[in-house]
Amino acid sequence: MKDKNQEAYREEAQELLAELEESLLALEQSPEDDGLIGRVFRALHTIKGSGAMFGFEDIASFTHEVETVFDLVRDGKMAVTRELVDLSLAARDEIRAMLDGSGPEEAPTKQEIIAALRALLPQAAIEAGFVLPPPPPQDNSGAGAAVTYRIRFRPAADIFLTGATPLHLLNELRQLGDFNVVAQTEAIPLLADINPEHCHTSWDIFLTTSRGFDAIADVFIFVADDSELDIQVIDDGSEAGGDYKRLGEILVERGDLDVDSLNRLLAQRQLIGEALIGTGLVGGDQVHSALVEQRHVRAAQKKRLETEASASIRVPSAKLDQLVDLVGELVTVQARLSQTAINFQDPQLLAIAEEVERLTGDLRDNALNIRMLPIGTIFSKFQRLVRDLAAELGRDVDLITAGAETELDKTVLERLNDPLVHLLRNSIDHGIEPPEARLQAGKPKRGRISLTASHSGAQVLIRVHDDGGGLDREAIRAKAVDLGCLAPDVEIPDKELFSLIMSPGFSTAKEITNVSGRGVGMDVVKKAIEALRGTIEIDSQKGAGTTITIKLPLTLAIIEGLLVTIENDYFVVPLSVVTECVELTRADVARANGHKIARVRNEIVPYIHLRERFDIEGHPPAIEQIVITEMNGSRVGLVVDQVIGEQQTVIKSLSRVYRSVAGISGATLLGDGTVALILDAPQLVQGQAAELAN
Amino acid sequence: MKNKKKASPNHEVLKFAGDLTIDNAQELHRVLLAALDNATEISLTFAEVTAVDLSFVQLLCAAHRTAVRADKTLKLADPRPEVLKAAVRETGFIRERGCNLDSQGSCLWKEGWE
Amino acid sequence: MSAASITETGQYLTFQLDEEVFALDISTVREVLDFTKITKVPQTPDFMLGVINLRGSVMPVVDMRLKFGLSKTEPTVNTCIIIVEIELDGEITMLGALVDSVQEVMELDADQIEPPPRIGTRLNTRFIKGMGKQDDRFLIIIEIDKVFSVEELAIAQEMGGEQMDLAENA
Repeated sequence: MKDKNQEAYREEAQELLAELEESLLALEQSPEDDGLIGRVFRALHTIKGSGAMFGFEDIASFTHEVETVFDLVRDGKMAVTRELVDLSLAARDEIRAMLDGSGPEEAPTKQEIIAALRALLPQAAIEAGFVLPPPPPQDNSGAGAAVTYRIRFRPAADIFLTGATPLHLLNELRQLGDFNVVAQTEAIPLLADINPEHCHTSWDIFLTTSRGFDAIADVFIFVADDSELDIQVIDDGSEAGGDYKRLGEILVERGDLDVDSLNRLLAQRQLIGEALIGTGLVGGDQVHSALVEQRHVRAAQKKRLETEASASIRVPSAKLDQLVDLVGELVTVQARLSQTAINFQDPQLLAIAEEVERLTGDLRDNALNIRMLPIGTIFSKFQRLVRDLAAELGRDVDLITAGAETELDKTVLERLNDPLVHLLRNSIDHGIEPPEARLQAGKPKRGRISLTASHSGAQVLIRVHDDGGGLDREAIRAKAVDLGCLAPDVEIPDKELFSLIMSPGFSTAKEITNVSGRGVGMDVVKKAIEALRGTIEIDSQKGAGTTITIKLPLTLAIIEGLLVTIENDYFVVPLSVVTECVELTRADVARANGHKIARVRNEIVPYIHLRERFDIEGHPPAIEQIVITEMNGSRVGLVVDQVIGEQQTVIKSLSRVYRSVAGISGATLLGDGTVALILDAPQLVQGQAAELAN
Repeated sequence: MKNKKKASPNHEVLKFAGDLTIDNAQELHRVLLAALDNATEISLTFAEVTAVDLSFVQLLCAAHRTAVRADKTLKLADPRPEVLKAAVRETGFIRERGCNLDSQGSCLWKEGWE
Repeated sequence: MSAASITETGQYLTFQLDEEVFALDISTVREVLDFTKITKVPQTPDFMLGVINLRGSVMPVVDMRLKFGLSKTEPTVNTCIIIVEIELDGEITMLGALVDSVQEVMELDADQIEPPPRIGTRLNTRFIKGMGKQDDRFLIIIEIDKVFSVEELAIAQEMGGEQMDLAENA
């Protein structure tokens, strides 16, 4: 009987595995598809559940690991990445092998798959005790930049009575990285007055670690409530090194010395340390601590410089830009070569052209890769920002980051900083509720903001999620109607509605705070993201929080585009915004009674007639093409003469002379050397909207 | 744990042994206080010290301050046990120069801890 | 323009627009190209002809005839594009000047150059560095940076010049 059941399970599992594989492959194409994620999860869940029931414990426990991951994905706590799909597919093969009772030929072992899956889990999940944490990363593994913190710690006087000993805390910190500690002894009373069982000492601790803020905070977790604890980043690990602050500056920064006194002392032209102690303005302990800080940071910077020097070569980024430019030219010439080879129909020439094409592609990928930097380099700065802002606004907030190793082009990264800062500010100011309000709403007192980055094909996804109050749908609606962006009786999907808050002049904040809501708002963020050829989307649930998803191209140097023509001119539409192409016939135009709208599978899509918009002379063909784009949840068509096809092209900046032309973001060179202009689709659509509004 | 031995009327040598930790902090405090009341010159010596924690390091600092204030001398004799050295290092007490209260320049934490 | 700034002997490239001969300080000229296909950039003034591909760089081209108030250039075999280096808004940039024909490189001594006339030329005197004499003909020496100053190229539409300014909100 049992065997029969097992046989039935095997059969069922095979079917489930087939479905699993299919769903995973589809998921790779559309990693955001909740339906697919659900299917994957259910398949895994059933394989596990029935497996345990019919005596396939090994399959059940192994499948459980994969299911765990997809549970997080389902909850939106993790993104689907190529890596995840690869691992899941490998896991699927492994399960199948277990079902068949045979080992896989060359797949990684179960343990390897489990370890790799766990490594993908976001830090947040691990902290929540969701799964066993992976082994801590080795120091200098390059996982994150080594950041130097100044930790000022004053335990409660009765800390000894709680059983926690300061010495142990210090030694725990010592484990985290390069460590220096200075006791502040000034508060130690005379023997006659001292309570020997109280702690009268506080500490300045300098710690260089790549383990992150959370690892430090964890050390203090049991004493944090009664202690004074201040953790500051004093060196974020990004500077090339060199001189750290002067002694006086450190003391002023810490609030041990005021600027006026410092200036007076500096005027005395003494060694600042001597002068300070001489005047008694600052205690010897404090000066000593500042000195130790200075030495510590200098040593950390020196060490970093040395490691960098040995592991890498520093090259001015201008040289890399030049390399990329040259590669871009090569790509253009190569395209010409391929075209010529095809025209000549000479097999030998064709073979060479193909070889050159392959090499050029590799060279291009390599050259672009050199300019990639992990996004963690900017993440590390945000811990401090969030902490300070939260304190200023009376919020309790944890920032959790994941995917710090995700790489982006240096230029993109630099220009991403400000928008992200703004989004984090918004999350703290408008998202996370004050602690009391959170408790009342039945949420944990501490708010949680997660900042995650992941790859998705040729794009990078960056998510800022907060578990705050969410957007007020009705307030946004009312405001939109007020501003005339929305007719009172029109219902639009949430995504579209929320995207309205990124319109200029849109702010629903009831009170304007120091932090955000001064009118410089989401519109600036949106513009900045679009300037990076990215898109931004807002998802929110009232009471549950807000998620902002930014999609960015990996690089600004190359674009995946759709090549189109109008008359004799070539244009490129970034493929990232294109959803489909449909025909526009004269009859279609006539039916619309002069309105620039097309019916695409029973949906009305407005379009922009580029020939008219750009004042291009000549006559349109009888059948034109509409390139349907989708941005911020709304669809707009761009009408062109002809769609030639997809192309990967190197982006050239239009000269400074043309930098302010609306609707064009750059240029690119086609195989025959012709210049094609790259359309700035968001700007075109915005321009059109503005025109219609007037 | 400790022994008293009078070297001269004004000189007192305290000998410490065993656990110099929070569990014995009250008693260590009394001993140091008494010594500072009686003598003008106090030497602290260490024998089989098995443990040292922050409470004792603090007491030493307080005792030294008291001595300086009263214009008395308090010294730590060598050899110093490794557990004591480690505690002083790990709690970050080591200094290159004394604090503002150290008018004699005899700060305990300057030398002898490496 | 005072005479003091043009006292040295200089080399000039001369070119023709209509019947008029112009001269450019040779140090601003990078190269001279034959006429080539120009891609128009939409929504820009007529004198901004568009862009060309100069060995992998995208180079804007200006119709000098239109810029100087003549009729639009009809390309002939003699039509040339002079690539000049100009300082625009504090930065060096290059652009192409489409002219009817390029003639020669010649030397002019300071005493062969006179200050620009206040009246009597069709051309805005702001663009003129001086008048040169060659045989019995007058050459108009052009101040190229002025011709292509930011104001002259002002095609700035509302999208230009905006920047993220979030920092001040801190």
